[in-house]
Amino acid sequence: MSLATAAVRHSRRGAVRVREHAVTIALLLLLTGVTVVFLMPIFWMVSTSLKTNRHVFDLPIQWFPHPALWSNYPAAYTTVRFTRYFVNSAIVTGSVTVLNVLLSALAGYGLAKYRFLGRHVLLVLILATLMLPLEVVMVPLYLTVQRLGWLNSYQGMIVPVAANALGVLMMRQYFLSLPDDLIAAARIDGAGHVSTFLRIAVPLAWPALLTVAILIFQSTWDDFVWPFLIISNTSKATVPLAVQTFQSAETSNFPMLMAVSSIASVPLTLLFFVFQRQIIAGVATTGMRH
Amino acid sequence: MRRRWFGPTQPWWGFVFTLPILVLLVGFKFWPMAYAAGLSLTNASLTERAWRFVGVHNYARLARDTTFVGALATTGRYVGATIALSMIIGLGLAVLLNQKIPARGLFRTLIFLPAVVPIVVAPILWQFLFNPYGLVNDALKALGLHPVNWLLSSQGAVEALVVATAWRLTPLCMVIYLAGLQSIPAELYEAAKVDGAGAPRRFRSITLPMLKPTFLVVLVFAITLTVQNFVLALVMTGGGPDNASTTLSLFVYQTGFLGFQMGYASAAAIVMLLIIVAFTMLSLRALRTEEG
Repeated sequence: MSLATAAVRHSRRGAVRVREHAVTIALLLLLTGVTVVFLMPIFWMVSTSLKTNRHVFDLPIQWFPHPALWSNYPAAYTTVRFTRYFVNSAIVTGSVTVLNVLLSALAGYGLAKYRFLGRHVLLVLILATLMLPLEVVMVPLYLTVQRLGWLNSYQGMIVPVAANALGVLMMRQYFLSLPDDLIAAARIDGAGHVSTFLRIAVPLAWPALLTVAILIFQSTWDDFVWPFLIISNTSKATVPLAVQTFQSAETSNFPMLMAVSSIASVPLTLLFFVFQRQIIAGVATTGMRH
Repeated sequence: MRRRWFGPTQPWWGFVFTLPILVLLVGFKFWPMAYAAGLSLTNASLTERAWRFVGVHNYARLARDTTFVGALATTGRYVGATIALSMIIGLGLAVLLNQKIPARGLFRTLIFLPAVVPIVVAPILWQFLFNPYGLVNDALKALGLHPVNWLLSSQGAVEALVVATAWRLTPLCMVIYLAGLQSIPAELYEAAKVDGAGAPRRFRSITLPMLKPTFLVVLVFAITLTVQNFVLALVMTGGGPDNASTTLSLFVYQTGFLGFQMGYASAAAIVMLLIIVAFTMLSLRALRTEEG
């Protein structure tokens, strides 16, 4: 090999590397630009929440308000009286999550580990409810809950939304992957059906249980429509209802409105940062549920 | 002979385990569903006790109701534009984030954040951004364009709704696409590279065809989510101006809960359900022929 060809090859490899770096930098710039656009509304919410109402629409734009009015936050918190609504949201979301996880685990186990007649039909029927959004049945569901005397009540917000086919699907998937031998061993040792479920299956299934719990917690905490329809008494209202009530009363006090919005966004944001992996994987499977 | 552990003797225990959720699903899903179908054939009202069977009168009335037909058209435009935006930008972002670049985990986390913003906060936020003196118009002015009176013009209100919805939907689509992209075997790309296929060619000949099932999944997901949701329209525009941004689900809410016409609202709800089921079935069939 002559010296000349070696040099050419070397410089060519260098050129390729330079081009790869250029591509990476271009991609990074593009991604940064997109990220800035996507996060701008959130940034603007926090930025506005630290201004006085007089300076909200000032030009040139005040990106970082000076001075920052942090006192807007305690003011927003006490004006809305958030504590009450956080407690209500916690009661409703906690109960729905516990109920849902329990029911989903039971049904998922029954459908995965027993071969009873009609289990396929049952599974299809349960999955079909995924196509039935609350918005379609809101009128009859309202009438049903009214008949039960559950308007303006915690049980009205909890029981009708406690059953969710998504949890069943995920738990069934998990229990299918659980070896039958484990359960067989327990049954041979004389454990009953229920105690096998509680002592063998449930402890093994905790990662799946956690994922279901996080997803249900997230969607229940975020739910606006159902509480909005059946709750007219503010003492039972959840956080999203309180935010909407405040918005319809205070349409033009933007810093306060943005502070209220920021406070209401805190719990789900924290949940996301703690359980990011489960939430993103959950969305991917929710989409893939078919 | 060893006896089967779960035993043909007691397989009905499986049904016992399924029973609790079944009771709730029957009570709060199947029964309301049947109830809705029944109500849609009556003149039921929230304020009056006596209901009368009216046959398909409500459906005939829907066909003649300009507000309903308008809501149907608005829903078509709103859903079409929203899912087109979310699906295209979501795909672009997923492909970008599937490359070997530094800090892509961080970018994924940050871009996902709009989907974490509470659903009731999103419309409040965008109502503020689309204020006549808001940030969106500031941006337009900076680009030398004319500011728009977004929420008070019939065209602008729908466009504002589309942007707000797509903002929250795009990260969700992106995450589903990413899962699909990561399931494409890396060897395919390696082989194509060896054969001298450039990046655009690899995208067209490997990524797109392999992503077709994911594409259908995202489509159903996005349509279902956008058709049913009325929180954004309710809080952001209230359906205005002059019903210009009233979508199908908002129409159901307004007719049933503000107009007290439960029977008529149920007929509209059934139409909405049929649309969702039709799209789901069509996509499922496309998916099945794809796999089969």
